[in-house]
Amino acid sequence: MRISLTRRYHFAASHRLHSPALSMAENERIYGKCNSPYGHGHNYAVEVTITGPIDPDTGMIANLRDLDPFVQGEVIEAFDYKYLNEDVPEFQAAKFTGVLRSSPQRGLSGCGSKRRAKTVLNTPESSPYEKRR
Amino acid sequence: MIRITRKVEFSAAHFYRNPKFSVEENKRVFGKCSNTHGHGHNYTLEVTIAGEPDPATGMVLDLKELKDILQREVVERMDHRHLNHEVPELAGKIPTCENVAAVIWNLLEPKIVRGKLDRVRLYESEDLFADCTAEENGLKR
Repeated sequence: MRISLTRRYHFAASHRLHSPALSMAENERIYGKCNSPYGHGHNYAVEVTITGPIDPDTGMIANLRDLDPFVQGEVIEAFDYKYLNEDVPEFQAAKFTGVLRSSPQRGLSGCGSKRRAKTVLNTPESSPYEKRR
Repeated sequence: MIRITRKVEFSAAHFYRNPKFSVEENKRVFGKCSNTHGHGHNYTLEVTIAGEPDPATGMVLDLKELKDILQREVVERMDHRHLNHEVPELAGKIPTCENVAAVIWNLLEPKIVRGKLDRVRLYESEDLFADCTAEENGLKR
């Protein structure tokens, strides 16, 4: 039997899907409403999953007293109530899920080498479970 | 292979305390959860069984049978109980979401005789859950 712990966090942000490599017409064809020049917003949920052994002293895979402030500082504060295209420097060069994925692994390295963190991004209208697989 | 999932709910009290730790250390590690008077949650348990449907019944496992197993093994044992004091399977363990989920997995696994126990997901709140998965499926997830 394998065990993991998942914590779900929330943030709200605006964005616009637009590629400078494409023409206006192509942008509109590919991204549709998401290309609207003023941007639009979503409520996002981020699921952070930690796998690894249960520490016998605490009964925990990860202590939320460590994980919560870490995710709050690394992810939520950077994205919450922001315009992702302009306010989040990582989006100048990286894709969204890639940005999220790199943060927890970096910050949780001190929790033990066997632990792995996985992040899942979803908006409420899409199933988090499908995207996890 | 088909997976079927049944959901049940139960409510229970618990607190976190390691008797090896000092009062201050317990408070530092466990925060509000260290209050030895306890606090409670509404837990949601999702149990997934994997297998091939029986051609005669069209079922991997009769969901009524699964409901009865969950009622007997989990709800009767844990609903409206104090997990630190009233559940022998948790004796000597800190009743975290991880440990409660693991205990539930161990209670259910021998009782599932048709299909195989595939996943136990225990929600302590909407935003926190522990997953136990079969070892052979673990890498695929």
